[in-house]
Amino acid sequence: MIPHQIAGYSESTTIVAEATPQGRGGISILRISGKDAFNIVSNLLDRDLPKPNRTTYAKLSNNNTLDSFIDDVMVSVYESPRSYTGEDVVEVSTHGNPILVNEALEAFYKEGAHPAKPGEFTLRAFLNNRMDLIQAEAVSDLIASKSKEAARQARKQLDGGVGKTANQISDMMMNILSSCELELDFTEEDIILLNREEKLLIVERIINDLRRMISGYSRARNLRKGVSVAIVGSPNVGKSSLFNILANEEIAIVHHTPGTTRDVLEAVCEINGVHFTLYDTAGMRITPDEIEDEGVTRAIRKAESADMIISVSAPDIKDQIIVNMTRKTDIIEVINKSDLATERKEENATYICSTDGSGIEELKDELFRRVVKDEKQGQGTISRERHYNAVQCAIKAMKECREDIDQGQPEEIVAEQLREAVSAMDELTGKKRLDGLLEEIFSEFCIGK
Amino acid sequence: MTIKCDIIVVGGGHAGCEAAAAAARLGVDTILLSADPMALGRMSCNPAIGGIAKGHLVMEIDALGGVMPEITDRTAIQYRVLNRSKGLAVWSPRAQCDRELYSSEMSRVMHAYKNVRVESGVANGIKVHEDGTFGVFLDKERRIHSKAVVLSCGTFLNGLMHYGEISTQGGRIGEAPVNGLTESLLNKGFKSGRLKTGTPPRLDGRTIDYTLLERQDGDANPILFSVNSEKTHLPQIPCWITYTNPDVHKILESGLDRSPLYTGRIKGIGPRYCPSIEDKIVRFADKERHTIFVEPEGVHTDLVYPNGFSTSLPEAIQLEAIRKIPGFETVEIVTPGYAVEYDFFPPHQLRHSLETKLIPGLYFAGQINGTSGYEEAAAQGLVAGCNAALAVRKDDRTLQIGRDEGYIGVLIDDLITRGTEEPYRMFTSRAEFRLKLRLDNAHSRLASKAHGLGLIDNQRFAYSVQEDERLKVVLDGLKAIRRPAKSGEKMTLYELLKRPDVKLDDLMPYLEQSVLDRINENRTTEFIRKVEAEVKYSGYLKRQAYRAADQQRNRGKVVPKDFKYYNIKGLSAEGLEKFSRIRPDNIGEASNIPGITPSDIAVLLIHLKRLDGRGTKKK
Repeated sequence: MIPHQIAGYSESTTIVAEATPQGRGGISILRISGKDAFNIVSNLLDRDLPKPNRTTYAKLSNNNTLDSFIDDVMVSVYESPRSYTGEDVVEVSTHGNPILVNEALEAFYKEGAHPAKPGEFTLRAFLNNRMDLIQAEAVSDLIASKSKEAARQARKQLDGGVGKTANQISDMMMNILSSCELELDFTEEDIILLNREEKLLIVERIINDLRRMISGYSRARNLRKGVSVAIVGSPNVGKSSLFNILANEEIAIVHHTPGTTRDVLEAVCEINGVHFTLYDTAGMRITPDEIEDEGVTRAIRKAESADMIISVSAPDIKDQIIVNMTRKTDIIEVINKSDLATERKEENATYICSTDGSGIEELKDELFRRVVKDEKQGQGTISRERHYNAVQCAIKAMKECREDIDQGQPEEIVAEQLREAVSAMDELTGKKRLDGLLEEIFSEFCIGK
Repeated sequence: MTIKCDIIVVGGGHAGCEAAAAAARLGVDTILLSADPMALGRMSCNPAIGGIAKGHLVMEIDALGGVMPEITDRTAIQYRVLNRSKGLAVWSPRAQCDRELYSSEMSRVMHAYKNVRVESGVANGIKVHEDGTFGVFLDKERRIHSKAVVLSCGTFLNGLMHYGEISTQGGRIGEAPVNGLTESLLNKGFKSGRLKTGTPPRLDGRTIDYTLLERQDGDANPILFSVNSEKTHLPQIPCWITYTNPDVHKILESGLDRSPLYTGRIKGIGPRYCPSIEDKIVRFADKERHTIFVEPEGVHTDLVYPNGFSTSLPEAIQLEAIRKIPGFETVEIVTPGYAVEYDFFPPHQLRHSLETKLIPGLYFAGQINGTSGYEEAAAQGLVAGCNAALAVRKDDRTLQIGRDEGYIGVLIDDLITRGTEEPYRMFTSRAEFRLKLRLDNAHSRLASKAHGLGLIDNQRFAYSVQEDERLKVVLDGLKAIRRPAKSGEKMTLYELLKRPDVKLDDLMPYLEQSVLDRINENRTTEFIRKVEAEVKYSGYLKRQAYRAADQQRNRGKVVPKDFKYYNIKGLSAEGLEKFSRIRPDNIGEASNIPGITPSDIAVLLIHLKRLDGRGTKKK
């Protein structure tokens, strides 16, 4: 019986979404619409926004991280009411790489934009008189069908482990929330409530479970949008040869001179329908050559940010730099020049020979297997942007909740955080849990003078 | 004989008195009809006003110029703030009142109220004339002709009282029910339902051994309900606490086969948050004891109210069981506990103004809408009375309070958009803007609305404006000065005060003298609490303000009264069914309906917009 938020489209928010069809294309256009659109975008650019109806080149970067550059973009500005939605609109064209697009979207979310709901741009356009009446029926049908599709997808996801996990987490949240609400609304009842330590214990578990839910997210998402793979190793082990073979194209220059590859090269390949973005990197070694040294730094950085690493070595090359990559669970050890190997003692390694192509199919299978295996494991993990954002929002609220309990803040404040978290989880469970809060309390506790 | 007036309020309980008073404050000629004009505003159940979330309602009634808060302050015999250990947002003042004095004081006030005439009688039918005016029939000889009607009949509509296996007609002990009115409304197309509530036996205090009870004193420095009150008027006396035990439960169990609740005699739905004692021992069988609050009914009476022992078991069982409770070994029951069933009208049949959708000029307030509680009733009465008066004056404004403006807004919005299946009681958890809706700011939330409509006078409004200005000066003063925090980092006093362990007192030495003077102006303790709450909640208040702004925007979009939902393509089946049945007045209401999805709202918005477009085209 507790209304928590208005259901529906809130016009005071600023929304963002990819306006071009998802997936690979030359460019992707991100559309940001709403009263904060100009602020949100200009906060992430290296220069001022262009004048309305003009386009400018700019660098888009993420304010909050050191390695902040995201992409070179084109930015177009449309001022209210002369825009698609009738609101202030900025369109940002990025390169058509799904990973970049996601990074950019996340940067916009951090600045306060909300992911657009199905058909929301069109709805706003309509409400702001940017469309004629004849189009109304079409817009309405569009939104209804898009919502149905979203609901169908959500149901499909709920059939799996996600719904179950989300429900269990919601249950735990409701458990603490009930206890807080009992303390507030039924203060004179003779009921045993959770103490501070018990609450903290549950909160801790919730945060851990939420984190586990999104831990597999990047991988699960990349199955749809592409998995990034960095090829790293010492100079002359044959990284570029491998890169070219996988890319099926002579992109990288292959030469026996160590240090031939300096900048990071990029190529795309598809294995059993999964898109991989491959990065060829400079050989890891200590070098007096400044340019080559920069190449090594970039190689390390790429290795850290990639979803997966192919670590190449060769029997005739001694490694100079061992990159610490404990963070990565996904390193595929590849030993090249298998023809030179006297014995194959590395059990977990894939042996290939880039000159005759042997072992390449096995390597491709291994790449695919790693991705798919993770997808299967992650039954309780999520794969949708909106769900990911919801869980992030729940984590934020639960962290604040933990701090509030810890500092001894009163129950009404703790409850406020929990309500925020429960509402966020509703996005995954498809329920309105707060509506049933009093019902749950009445059915579980003996209330009443 | 026909008596004429602008508004007739049917029923002189808490809803009726506030309705008549509010209409009268707006200068409209009002008749308050009661079966017993000398016993208005009677407390049929516990002799107390306020409590969790209800205390907030009373404060808001005060901000709207209502009568309940002052009368409570004049007749209170014990004050206690519940939730005092928590934050100010959930502090809930509660006053134990002298039952007889409260009613006689209310009667005195209403008889003296300008523009109110108190008439004696019982309504048993309503006629709507062709010109939209009303005839209310009292008996064969008398009828009242009015332009608007407020129905606030409490538990009297086809009231049926149950004591064990005995059922008698009546709305309250010793008082006859109202028959005919429900039927008169059903004939006009209204739908009704049946609810139940109960009350404990009243005890003779001279037969209680208080040495066996725990004493519970009131607050030494009580928070009064009305800004007009300066002090308490009656001697302050203690309440007491005792507990049931397995022996009590065993006896109660032996009577279950004669309980109207379990034999199926009672058809109405009772409140789950306020179950009878027999209900508690059945539903929570493993609980070995239940708390009984022993509350005196007044200064000059020996009557005692055992709060927590509501029952409709046979009187003999009541006596046998209650005597097993420590302190009650030789207690005498003066009047037995009983349950009462009554008709109510599911509130989705109303607009937010509490006017019925079916008949313009007809308003419902109080238990007739499915609520329970004096405060809930009074709040609705005030809103209904004010809106009836505005309508009679052909003023096109209405008194509407948003969910973010007051508990009264939450109450009415919940009733209309969500309905209720059991008697509805206010809780703080129903208010999503709980941190904003505090007792310290009730006046600043509602004063300008109240003043604009004429519910409060200039002097009262000026006081509220002055208090707002005082708060602003002090908050600005806190923001203007920076001090090093423990971390060494320099922060404004405002930022420092946000921390849970910092109090305004700690920061006083750093404040400007002019600011200190404002703090010490008057009611300093209360004012300091208000400043602290405003600062400490500020982060959350901001978050809530965003949500409120969304609601506000949506509320403005009106759905036409005759809107044809079945013509809309794209609505979900549930959306179509609920919209058609509940017929929301606006988008805000529509989106509050349980089960309504964002896409239903979007689709509805689009079709409303289409309609607008057509309208303008024609012009």
